[in-house]
Amino acid sequence: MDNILRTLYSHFGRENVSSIEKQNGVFLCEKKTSDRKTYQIIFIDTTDNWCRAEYSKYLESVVIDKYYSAEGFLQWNFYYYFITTIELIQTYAARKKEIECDETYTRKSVLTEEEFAEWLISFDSISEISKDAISNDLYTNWVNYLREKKLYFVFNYDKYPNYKQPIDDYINGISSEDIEELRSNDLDTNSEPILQKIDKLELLEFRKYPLTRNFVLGNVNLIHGPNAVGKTSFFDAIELIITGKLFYKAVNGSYNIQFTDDSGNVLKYPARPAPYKKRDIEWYNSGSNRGNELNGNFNKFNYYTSDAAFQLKQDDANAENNLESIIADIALGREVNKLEDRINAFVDRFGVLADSFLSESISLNESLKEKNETVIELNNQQKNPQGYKSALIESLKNNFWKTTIDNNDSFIAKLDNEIQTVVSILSNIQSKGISFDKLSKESVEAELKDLSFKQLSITALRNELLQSQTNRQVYLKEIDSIKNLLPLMSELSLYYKHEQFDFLIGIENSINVKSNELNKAKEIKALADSILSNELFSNDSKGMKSVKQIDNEIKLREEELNKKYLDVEFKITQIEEGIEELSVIISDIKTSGQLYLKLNPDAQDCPLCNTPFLNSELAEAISRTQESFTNSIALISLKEELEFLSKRLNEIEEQLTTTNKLKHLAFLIFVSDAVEKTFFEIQSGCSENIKTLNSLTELLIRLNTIRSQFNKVRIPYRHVVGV
Amino acid sequence: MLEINHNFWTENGRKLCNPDLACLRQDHNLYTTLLMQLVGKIEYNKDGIRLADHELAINKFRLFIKKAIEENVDLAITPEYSCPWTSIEDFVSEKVLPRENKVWVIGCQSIKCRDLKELVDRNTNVLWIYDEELVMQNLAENKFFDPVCIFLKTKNEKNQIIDLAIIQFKTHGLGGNGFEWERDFGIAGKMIYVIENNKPSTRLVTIICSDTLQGLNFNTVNNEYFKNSPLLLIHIQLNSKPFQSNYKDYRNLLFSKGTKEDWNKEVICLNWARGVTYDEAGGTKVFNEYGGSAFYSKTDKIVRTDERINSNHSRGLYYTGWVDKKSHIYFLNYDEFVFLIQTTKPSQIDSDPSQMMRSGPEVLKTFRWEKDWMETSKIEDGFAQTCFEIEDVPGNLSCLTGNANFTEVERIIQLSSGEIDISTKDKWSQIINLLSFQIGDTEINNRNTFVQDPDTTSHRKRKEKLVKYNFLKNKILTDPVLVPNFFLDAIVKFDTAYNSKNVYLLNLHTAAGRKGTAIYLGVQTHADAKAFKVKLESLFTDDHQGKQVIVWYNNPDLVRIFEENIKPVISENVSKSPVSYKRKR
Repeated sequence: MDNILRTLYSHFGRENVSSIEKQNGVFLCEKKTSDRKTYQIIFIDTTDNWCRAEYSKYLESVVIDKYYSAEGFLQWNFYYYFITTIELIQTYAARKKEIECDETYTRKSVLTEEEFAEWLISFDSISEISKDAISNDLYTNWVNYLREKKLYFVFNYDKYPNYKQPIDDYINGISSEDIEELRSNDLDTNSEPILQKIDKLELLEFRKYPLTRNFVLGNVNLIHGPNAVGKTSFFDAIELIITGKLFYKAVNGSYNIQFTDDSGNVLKYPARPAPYKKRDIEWYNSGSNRGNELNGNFNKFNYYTSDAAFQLKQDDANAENNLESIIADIALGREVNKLEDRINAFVDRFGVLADSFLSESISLNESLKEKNETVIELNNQQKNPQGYKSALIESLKNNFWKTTIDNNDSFIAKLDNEIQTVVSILSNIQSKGISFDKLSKESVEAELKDLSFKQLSITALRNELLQSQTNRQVYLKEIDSIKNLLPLMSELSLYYKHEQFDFLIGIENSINVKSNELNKAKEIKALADSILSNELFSNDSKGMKSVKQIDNEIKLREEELNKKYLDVEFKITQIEEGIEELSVIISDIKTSGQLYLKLNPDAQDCPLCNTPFLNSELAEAISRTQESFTNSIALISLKEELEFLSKRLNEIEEQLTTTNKLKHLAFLIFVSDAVEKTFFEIQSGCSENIKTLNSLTELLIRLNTIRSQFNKVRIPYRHVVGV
Repeated sequence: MLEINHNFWTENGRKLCNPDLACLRQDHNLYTTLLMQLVGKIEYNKDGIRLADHELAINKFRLFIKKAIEENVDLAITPEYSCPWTSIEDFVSEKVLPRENKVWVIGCQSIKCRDLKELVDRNTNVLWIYDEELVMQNLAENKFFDPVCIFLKTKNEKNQIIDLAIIQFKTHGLGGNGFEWERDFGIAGKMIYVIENNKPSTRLVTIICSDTLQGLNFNTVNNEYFKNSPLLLIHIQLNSKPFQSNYKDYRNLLFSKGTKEDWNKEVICLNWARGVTYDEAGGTKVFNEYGGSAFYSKTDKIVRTDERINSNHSRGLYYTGWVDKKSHIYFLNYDEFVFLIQTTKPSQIDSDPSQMMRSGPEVLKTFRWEKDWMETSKIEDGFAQTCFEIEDVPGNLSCLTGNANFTEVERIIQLSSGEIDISTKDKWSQIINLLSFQIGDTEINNRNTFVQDPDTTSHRKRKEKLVKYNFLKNKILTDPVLVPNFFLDAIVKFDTAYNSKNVYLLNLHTAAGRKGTAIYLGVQTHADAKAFKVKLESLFTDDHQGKQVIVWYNNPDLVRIFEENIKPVISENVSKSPVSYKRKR
């Protein structure tokens, strides 16, 4: 134990090794970052408790407190090592395997002291297995895999005939067009080497690496190691050199890292990352959102939950950690995940269909096989039917078959019939528990006959029974309906025995009377209408003019005025026409007068009548001539008369409207008086009997209900009431 | 119908320029406001309302104004009915008035119409702006106004600085609750003044208590005059029921828009402190149980860090998230204090986009009346008293009352009693998702650590949670029969030093540092308790701590759910992304 402790002290540092309370022989070692934060917890157990069947309970008791007080991410960084002797390991080989496959709480190993020492040495390094371990032609494997799954649409040979080329080019250091383009477009990077296959990766100042790291790389490399030894950082370093992004705190704001390709070109972490933007867009579909992508592409391989070695040695039912498929994923890029999904979905979907086809085809095959066998058998027999027949007869005889079998064509059919009869009889007999030995064919037939007769009579009896049952139902229903009627009938008889039955009928009659009265009222109203339109309004009463008379007078006056109006209007039109004609003549005179004046500017007499005028007076007279005609006094007086008549007409129209209103009003007054009177009479007549009417209504409703009940059971109402 | 007056600068022959008030500028600079939430005995009759102790009132206002000048605040506010007119006349005659760019909104006690006219006439140091027509009409009446005086400086057309005193009258007198005197003898104002700067700015509007009862909707009033424009609305009150629906509906309406349209509007509600008294036949009675003064703001940028919330809490300002309205309400402590608050402006469009952020109010100082307004840290949120009522043994809940990290206390109470919103997944512990910080349209406060809201339902709910917490801590966890062995010495607390996403889910700690989750659900159905546990476990990410969840509940006896046999497995990744290569098929 001292030895082990010494080894632990020297490896982890004395301050990082402690013993655990109440657990002798168990040490807790912690690995810490430079800022003293624990990133790995290792339990070293020198006891033999691992041999115990209940080792897991023991282990839990050691680990659990530390486990659940550790910060979340640390829970994946627990290791447990049992240090023991080779003898015990040999004796408990099965237990060792069981422990190492147990995934609860920590990763576990059972080691000898020597193995443990070796493990410690290798613990912190990223190591290289072999340069030739894996085939270079992973992409062909992958494409074959797609073909195997019949996913031609995923990978189309016609579309990508040279699918191998870019990868081969890449491995052989032939630059792709994209990178050429980038190089030619960006003067700043002209001096940078073209990206080749990486041969060497040198980390001089990078994250928490205390020392310079030099990695020499093969064609295909497996990076493995426990957590927190720098697997992710390895990929990050490559990515940083290529992309120039700062995503860890860098010493002096930059990294001192570089890689060398197989042509000896050295690519350093770029001082100015800006020119890489275009390439980033090409790689990440984004110029701003990048980082940890390379590591992401290796993610299946690069679990932060465990080291790759541990994962890879496990049998993995999901083939998630199958080395070849992982590397195939990497070779074919990120899309692989989607492809796998599509393959799996495809397989799942078609798997169901395929299964049903398969089972169907199997059953079909079986029945085919059966049929085939029958056909073969039949074929064989067809070759010698007579022999078959005689053999059959022989066999029947041997089996005491008491029947005459004609050796003719219908032999088989007859035999089949007989066999069927026998089988049915036998089953019949069996069901009755009759012994076989006592039976002859005749007795069986007699029995059958008897049975079939009995069956017939039973059927007949059953039918009779059914019929009588149906009848019974019908009777019961009728009885029920009659029963339902009983209370109604008694009620009805009560109604008819009612002492005031006659009185009720009297009320019914009085309603009829009232109804007649109402009709009469209506007639009165109609009469009133006719009266209003006739004498009442045309008679002269109390020496005053009736409305009708006023109306007539107004109408007469209106007609008269209208006539006069039309006369005047006609006269005006005539005068206006005359004036128009005159004005044409005058206009002519005026024009000729003006012409005359123009020709004889000094004229002193009228050109028509030769009356002497002053020249100026003459000109004025000529221009005034028309004016005097248009303003003729006759015309003006006629127009005034027309205007007066029109006013009068309007007045008369207003008077007419007023008389109409008066007429309507008088009518309304009369009607309301008459109708009110009539209705008051009817109402007072009715109110006397309202009480009786109510009870009558109630009785009538009940009567109607009873009637409808009778209708329901279809018994005529009059039979019951004796009407 | 109310008249919204924004043209008074040039009305009646005045030739005034609009001012340049700092609190209305649309920039990113913070502005300071001094709020007086006072208490005292009031007396009222047909002559109006006033503080009974006139001398004390004068003193409080004199020293409040002194503080406003000393602290150089941009906006000073006092509640409705509060300031004696003697003080107002003193301030005016002695020219104790706001500096340029500052504004004081002073709620005043009642004043008779004739008295007001005389006061205005004999004090010509300031230019008085008020509804002169209304005053002239009522000069012969023996009635009074309930006004607010807004003091500020501006310039006239000759660029001379003018001191303004805008008097706005209460427009809707109260009638009920013994306030008939206001309905019967008060003269209702008709005008609400809108103050805007000489450059496009936020609009400052003051409303007085029951002005809101007229169904004020600032999104539609005056032909949508306020729509799409930034608004700072000051609502001064003496209100025994400030959250009664008619009084608060205007806020619901103001913040009702789903879009960002109303994001540039803020409300400052200033009520009196609780415990105002008045004399009635039979002795002195308490007028109000509520304070209810608050800041209302609608923005998605508010600062909701634990640090800001806790620092405000210790100074008497309590945050709640008004989720339905995408808004925020900061309640002031209900007791008598003067608060000096620094806050962002409702609109900041004049500033650089990188600086635009409405981070919300922050209390700088709180003052208590001790013959002067003295800075104080003694501010009671009432939480200790509530805990004391629940403790069966004094000090049993000292872990809560002794913790100045109020947000943490809120979280631990909510988690331990199972009152968390699981649908918000691993963001349940963010302030925005913590149920106790959420508030509805009723504005009933659900905070555990601020207990002054007298609403009985919220009191009951709060007490239920605390009782559950107490039962978990002091009954369940001290009973070895009920607790799994390894948690026997565990205590309830959060270890914020523990570096984990799940830190607020781990409320159980043993001496050895082991962490787990303990929840007591109270009376619960078996199915619900189990379902809760499963859902809770789904909140854990990136570690296996979800396997240490223990849930207790009563049905009818105390039941414990804890699966001891579920063990962590190294190849199990608890935070697999659905697009990860590592996901299981």
